[in-house]
Amino acid sequence: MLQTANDTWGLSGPTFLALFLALSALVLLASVTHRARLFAGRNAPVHHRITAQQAAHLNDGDELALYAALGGLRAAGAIDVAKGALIASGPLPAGATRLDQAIHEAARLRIMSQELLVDPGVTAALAQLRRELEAADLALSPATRRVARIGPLLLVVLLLVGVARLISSTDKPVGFLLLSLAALFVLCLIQLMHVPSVTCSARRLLKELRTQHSHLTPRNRPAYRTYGADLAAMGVALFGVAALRVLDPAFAQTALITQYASYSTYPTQSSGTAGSGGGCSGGGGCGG
Amino acid sequence: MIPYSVGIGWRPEICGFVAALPGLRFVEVIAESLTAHGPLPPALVALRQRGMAVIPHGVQLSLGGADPVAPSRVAHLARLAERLSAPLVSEHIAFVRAGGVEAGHLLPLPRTREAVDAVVANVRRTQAELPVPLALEPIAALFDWPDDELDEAQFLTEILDRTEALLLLDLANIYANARNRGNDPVDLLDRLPLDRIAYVHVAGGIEHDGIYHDTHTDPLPPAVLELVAELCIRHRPPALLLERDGNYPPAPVLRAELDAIAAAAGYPTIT
Repeated sequence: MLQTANDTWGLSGPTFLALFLALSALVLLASVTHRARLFAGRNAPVHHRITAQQAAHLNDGDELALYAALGGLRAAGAIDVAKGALIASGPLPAGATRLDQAIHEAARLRIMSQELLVDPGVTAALAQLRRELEAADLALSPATRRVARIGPLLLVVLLLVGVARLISSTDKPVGFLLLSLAALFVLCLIQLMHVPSVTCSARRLLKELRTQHSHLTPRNRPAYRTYGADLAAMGVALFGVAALRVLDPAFAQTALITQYASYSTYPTQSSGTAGSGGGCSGGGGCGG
Repeated sequence: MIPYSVGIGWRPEICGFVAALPGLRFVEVIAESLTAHGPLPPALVALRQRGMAVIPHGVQLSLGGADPVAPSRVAHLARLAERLSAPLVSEHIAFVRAGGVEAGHLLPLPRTREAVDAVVANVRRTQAELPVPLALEPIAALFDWPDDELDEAQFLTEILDRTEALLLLDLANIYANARNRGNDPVDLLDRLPLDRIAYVHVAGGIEHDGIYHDTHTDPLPPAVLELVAELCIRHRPPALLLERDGNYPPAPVLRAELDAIAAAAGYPTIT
C-alpha cells in the first residue's frame, strides 16, 4: 500500500484500521483471558462446607451476612427486640461465629439495629468474613478487582488513540473507524462495569446451595422451628430478608435496616452490592 | 396400594423435613393446595420420582351437602390422582357449604337416613369420575344433631356398605368425639368395619375449657397412641399417617411422634 503525503500520521486509512483492529483484538483477547482466570476461583470442587454467614456474604455482601447471623441467633433464642433495640434473650448457641459473638455482645448492650453496621465488633467480624472468603477464592479482593480493570483500561487507551485519529482525519472517509470505535467503546464499557465481587466458583456454590435448600424458599413459609437455627440462617443467606420475615415478622420489622426493609423477595445476584455483576461474562463464563 | 408403613402429611412448611425422612414411603397432600393443571410443587414431584406414594386428600368436596358435588371439584381430585399416580384419594364425610354459603370448616351431618342417602349419592357421583378408590373420613364434631337416627358406627357402616368406599379412620377424631361426649373410643373401634380401613390419621390436639380440640397443631396425646395400639390389636391398618398443620415443633419432636406411632402400630420407624 502506497504512502501518500496526505496520509494522517503517515499511515493510510486502511493500514491504520487494520493495525488498530488487530491491536484491539489482541488486547481484548488478553483482557478476557486474564479476567476469566481472575474471576474463575478454584477449579477444585466447590462443594465444601461454607457457613450460612459466608453464603449470605457471597450472595449480597455485608448486610445480608448480618441478617443471616441475626436470623440464626433469633431462631436459637439468643436475641430478640424490645423497644426498637436488639436485646440478648438467651445464651449464644454452640458453634457461634465471631459475627454471632459480636452481635450478641452488641445486643447485650441493647444496640439499635441501624447501629449494627458501624459497631466496631461487628465491622471487624464482617471484615474477617470477607478475608476468609477471599482466601478461599470465593470472593474477589479489592486488589484483584483493581487488576481486573487493567485490560479495559488498555482498551480505553486504544479508544483514545482511535478518537485522536478520527479527529485528525479531516476530509477523509472514517466510517469503518467510527464503527470500530463504537464497538470498542461498548466492549470497554462492559468490561469496566462488570467486575464482580465473587468468583464463578462462588456463584456455582450458591446455585448448588439454593438447589440443596430449595425447601427454604419463603414461598413455602418454612417452619424454622422444625429446621433449626442453622437452616434459619441459611434461609436468610440464600433467599434474603423475606426469610427473616417468615421466621419472625415482628423481629424482622425492627431488625431490618436500610434498603432491605423494603425487599419483599430474595435478592438476585445482579442486585448485589459492592459492584457485583450478574454472570461471569467477559471472563469466559462460569461453565454452568 | 399404600405401602404398609407410617407416613406424614406433606406440607410446604416442612417439605424439607419430610424429604429427609429415610424410611418414608407415603405422604398425603391437601388436594385443594395443588393445581390440577399447573406445575406441582418441585419438592412433591421429587418425592414422586423417588417412588413415594402420594395421596390427594380433599377438604372441600362437601360430600355431605344436600346439593350434588361440584363436577369441577371432582374433576380436580381425579386429575390430581392421575398426575400423582395416587393409589387412592380421600375426602371427609361432612359438608362445607350450603345454600351457596361457604362454611370454611368441615361441618358434621345429622346421622339420619336422609343424610346417608345424600352422602351415598355424592360419593357415587365422585367415584364415577375417579380413576382410583375413594376413602371416606369421619370428622371430629363438638356436637350431635338432635334428630340423629343412627349412631356413629351404624352411620359409617351404612355409607361404606352402600358405596363400597374405603375408610380413612382418624383416631384423633374418634378420641376427640369420645372424650367430649364422655364415651369410650374403643367401643366405636369394636363396631366399625375395620377391614375397610385404607389408612389411619393420627394427630395432636389440646383441651380448652373442658373441650378437647383436634387441632393438628399440638402434641400427640398418649391417649391417641393408646388408641393406635388398641386398633392394631383388633386390626392392623395398612398405613398410619401423622397430620400436622401448623405450630410445627423442632425436628426431633416431630421425629419422636412418628417413632411413637410406628412403635404403637408395630411398624418400622421411618426416621
